[in-house]
Amino acid sequence: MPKRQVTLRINDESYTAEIEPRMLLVDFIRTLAKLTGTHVGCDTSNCGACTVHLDGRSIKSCTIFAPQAEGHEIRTIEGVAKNGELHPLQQAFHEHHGLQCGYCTPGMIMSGLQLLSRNPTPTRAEIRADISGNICRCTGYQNIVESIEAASKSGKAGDWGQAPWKGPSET
Amino acid sequence: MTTEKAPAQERQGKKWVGQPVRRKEDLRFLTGHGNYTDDVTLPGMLHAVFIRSPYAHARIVGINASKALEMDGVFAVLTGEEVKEMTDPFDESIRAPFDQLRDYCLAVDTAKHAGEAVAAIVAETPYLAADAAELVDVEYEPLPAVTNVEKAMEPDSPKVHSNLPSNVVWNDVFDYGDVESAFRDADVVVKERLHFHRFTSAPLENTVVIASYEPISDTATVWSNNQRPMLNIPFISKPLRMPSENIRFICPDIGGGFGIKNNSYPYLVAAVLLAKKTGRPVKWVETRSEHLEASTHGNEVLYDGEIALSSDGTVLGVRARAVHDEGSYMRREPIGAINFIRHATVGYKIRNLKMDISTVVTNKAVVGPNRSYGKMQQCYLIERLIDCGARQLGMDPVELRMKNFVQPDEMPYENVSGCRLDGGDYPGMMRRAMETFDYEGAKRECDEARKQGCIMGIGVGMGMDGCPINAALIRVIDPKRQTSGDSEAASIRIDETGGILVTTGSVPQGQGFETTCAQIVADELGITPDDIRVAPGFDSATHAYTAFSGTYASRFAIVGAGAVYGAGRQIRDKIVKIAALLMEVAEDDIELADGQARVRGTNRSMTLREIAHVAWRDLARLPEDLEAGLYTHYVYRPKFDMPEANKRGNFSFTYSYGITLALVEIDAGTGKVKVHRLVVMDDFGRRLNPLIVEGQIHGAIGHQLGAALYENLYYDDEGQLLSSTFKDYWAPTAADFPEFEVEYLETPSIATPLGTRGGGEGGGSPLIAASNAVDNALAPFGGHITDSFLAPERILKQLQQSSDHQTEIESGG
Repeated sequence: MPKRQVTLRINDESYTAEIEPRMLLVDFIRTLAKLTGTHVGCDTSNCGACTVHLDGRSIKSCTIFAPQAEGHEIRTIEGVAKNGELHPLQQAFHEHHGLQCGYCTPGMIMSGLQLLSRNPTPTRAEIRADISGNICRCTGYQNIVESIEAASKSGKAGDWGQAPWKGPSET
Repeated sequence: MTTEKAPAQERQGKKWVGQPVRRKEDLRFLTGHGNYTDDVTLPGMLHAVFIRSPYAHARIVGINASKALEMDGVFAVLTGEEVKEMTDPFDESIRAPFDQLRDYCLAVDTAKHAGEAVAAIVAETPYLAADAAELVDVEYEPLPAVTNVEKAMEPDSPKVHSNLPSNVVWNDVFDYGDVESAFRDADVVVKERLHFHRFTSAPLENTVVIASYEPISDTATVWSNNQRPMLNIPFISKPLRMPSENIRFICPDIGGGFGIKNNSYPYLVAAVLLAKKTGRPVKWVETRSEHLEASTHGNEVLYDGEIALSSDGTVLGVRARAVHDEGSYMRREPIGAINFIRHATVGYKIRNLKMDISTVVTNKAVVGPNRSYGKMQQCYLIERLIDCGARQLGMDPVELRMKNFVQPDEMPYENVSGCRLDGGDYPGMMRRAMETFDYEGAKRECDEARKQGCIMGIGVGMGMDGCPINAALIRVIDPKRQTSGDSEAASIRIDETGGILVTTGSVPQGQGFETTCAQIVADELGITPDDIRVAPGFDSATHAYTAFSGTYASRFAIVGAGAVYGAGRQIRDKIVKIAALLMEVAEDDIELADGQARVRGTNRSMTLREIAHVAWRDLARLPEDLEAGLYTHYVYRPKFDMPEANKRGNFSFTYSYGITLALVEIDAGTGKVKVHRLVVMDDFGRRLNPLIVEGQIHGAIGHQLGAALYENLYYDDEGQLLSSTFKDYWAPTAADFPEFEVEYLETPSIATPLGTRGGGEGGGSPLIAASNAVDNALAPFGGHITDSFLAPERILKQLQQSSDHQTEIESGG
């Protein structure tokens, strides 16, 4: 398959590489941008471990090819903490033991960020529904829900750092 | 960026053990800087893909990889024929002639389950390797496959291993007490046929292996997310024909294990062979479908069980035939089949028990350790029989359990198989569970709901988890095996600048060992957990370890903590000794606090750093008989004995236990089960870190409820796994679970130095309570639960078949 040059913007940096067009975005992020915080947990787009933000919206980076992400702004877990300070959502996961092995955590954080940017005061049921695209095998989800709820109530929401949600008609 | 210390109000009395200290390891996981095996890259590394059999059973006629090898960037192929030449088969635990069962890292001569690896190909990139794999031409001759375990037991069944006389590769009878008399004297005997279904804890991170090989020294380094490195190194050294000393094993961060990552050793062997063949490091990353098809499945058991009761509810005896569907190879089995011994009668005083156990090979994926390995299954058998007994007697199932519980003042209690329960308050826990659940109120709510036409039920379940495991258990299978006991090691070094490094042989997969180890050492040395670095993961070149090192059988809280505690005490003693020498006081006058050694009642002190400096650098000040440096290595060994001749023995050291009460409702239209309330009680003895323990319990509930309601590995008659992706194998999401209500008892174990019991596997009480609750819901309809997987279609069928239900439909109710 003939390669082509692609430049992706990830966490405000540019990454340029010659790739086969069939390269999945998650593989570009992990192996070419060397940002290994985004993970692969399945081969059918069910697990959500690969969740990143594309122009402020959660996407599963295993479901798009790297060239499709050209011209967009991608944010991964490595781009969430700023200047050595944990984001309030990351801090909440730490305080409420919302992670064990850590493998689902980057995807959970990215999904949580999107949830809170659209719905700053979700109910626990809304949290559960909204993270139902992210599978966790360690926590039984209880403390993840606890963490996201705590972050929403903390009053330290601050800048969720994401682009405002544009409805489908505006994308 | 530093992990913050726990706020002051949590640090009661300056003691760290027992406090809900936030985890040291969180920082890297929260910010995407975890180091999982697929994050590791080596210069010149190549990528492997396995070619797998589409057939459940087939002769491998030939493998032609010529087209694949012609591609640029494709380096090598490995086939079963080469593996047969280059390696020795894996050791088996079963007796002759079945120990002739041949198990290699690739299928040899025949493929024995759909998805079994028959060849491997290595290329420059993973994408290229996948392309090349498609060009490898394997010719198969399909053979009849056997997927039903009872059919596999018949003499005319297709044989999974053609060189064995039968598919029933192991059988033994465990006869404790006088079961015949018990059943003769019984007022009531209930017979049940039960099926415990096949599922997997399916960690989110799949198996990954990297191997590099150095030909001049004949040494290999393996990176893998495997849970038992120090069993697997010698285990793979035999097939590889290398001294085990020549194999270095590194476990980076692991994305969940749950037992499933114990048995990945065939892939370790294949990776080393590929590294040898290509002269380059080779990495293999398992896909999710490979993981579901060809890693490890949990024990699947068919039980024909009977319980004998007297009319007042006393359980006189239990007997059962248990048939284990092991899949196509035995690997670590029949350990899972005999693990029942540890929880033979759960928390009850049942003095007569007979288990007739067979393990049978079939053309399915291989069974092995899966969270609550063989323990949950035995608890399920006993608990379902007890519930059925209660139903027959017309007795409340909680009341019947209360009548038969081992009482707290009978502890320590030796059960009928010789296991010594190390303390606990079963009736007390049940009472608390009933109170939190409002058992009487829930029963009333259920009755009311039923009058309104809702299909609701309440169930109770008890689980038990014996930890760690006495390796002498294998002698019950083969008395000639020279293996027994358990041990773990820890090391602590305080360097001359006062930096502290702790290592252990425990292999973490999310249990927070870096934090709990730091808590234990902080208490011994009078410092804080932030002052201590605990080496992450495991590396056989740099970590303390013993032959049993790893994380499995919920052992950390006993042997891992025991080793770290012992090392902490040892290094504390040395610090005190040196401080006393240097400050010219008695050792009893020295206390360690706030990072210093102080002379009690004075303001004279030395910092740990100053003491360490002298110990490493200023040696003329030390007496001749004092070893220079500040380093300690400690091995903790629980006192385990050999089993007795009649298959009795204490095979665990501690027995944690739990009780769940569940309130469920069944949708009359779909048969789907909704859990309205789940109250879970657990006792893990003294909790080293309550935050971490609670997380473990939530996770165990998640796995067990998931297994009961959603997760089922099922095959068609041709041996095709129909639930081989996350589209078909329903790993539950946050929307699929109720809120968990969790409480604890903390009755310290009398057996361990810190009063801890093992925790983490959970013993099965939520899964059991779910079955019992659905059975209770179906009872008014004459329905009955006989399978641990609560399949909606089966429940619906039971509802549709019941005459009550028909009457309701006819009357429009």
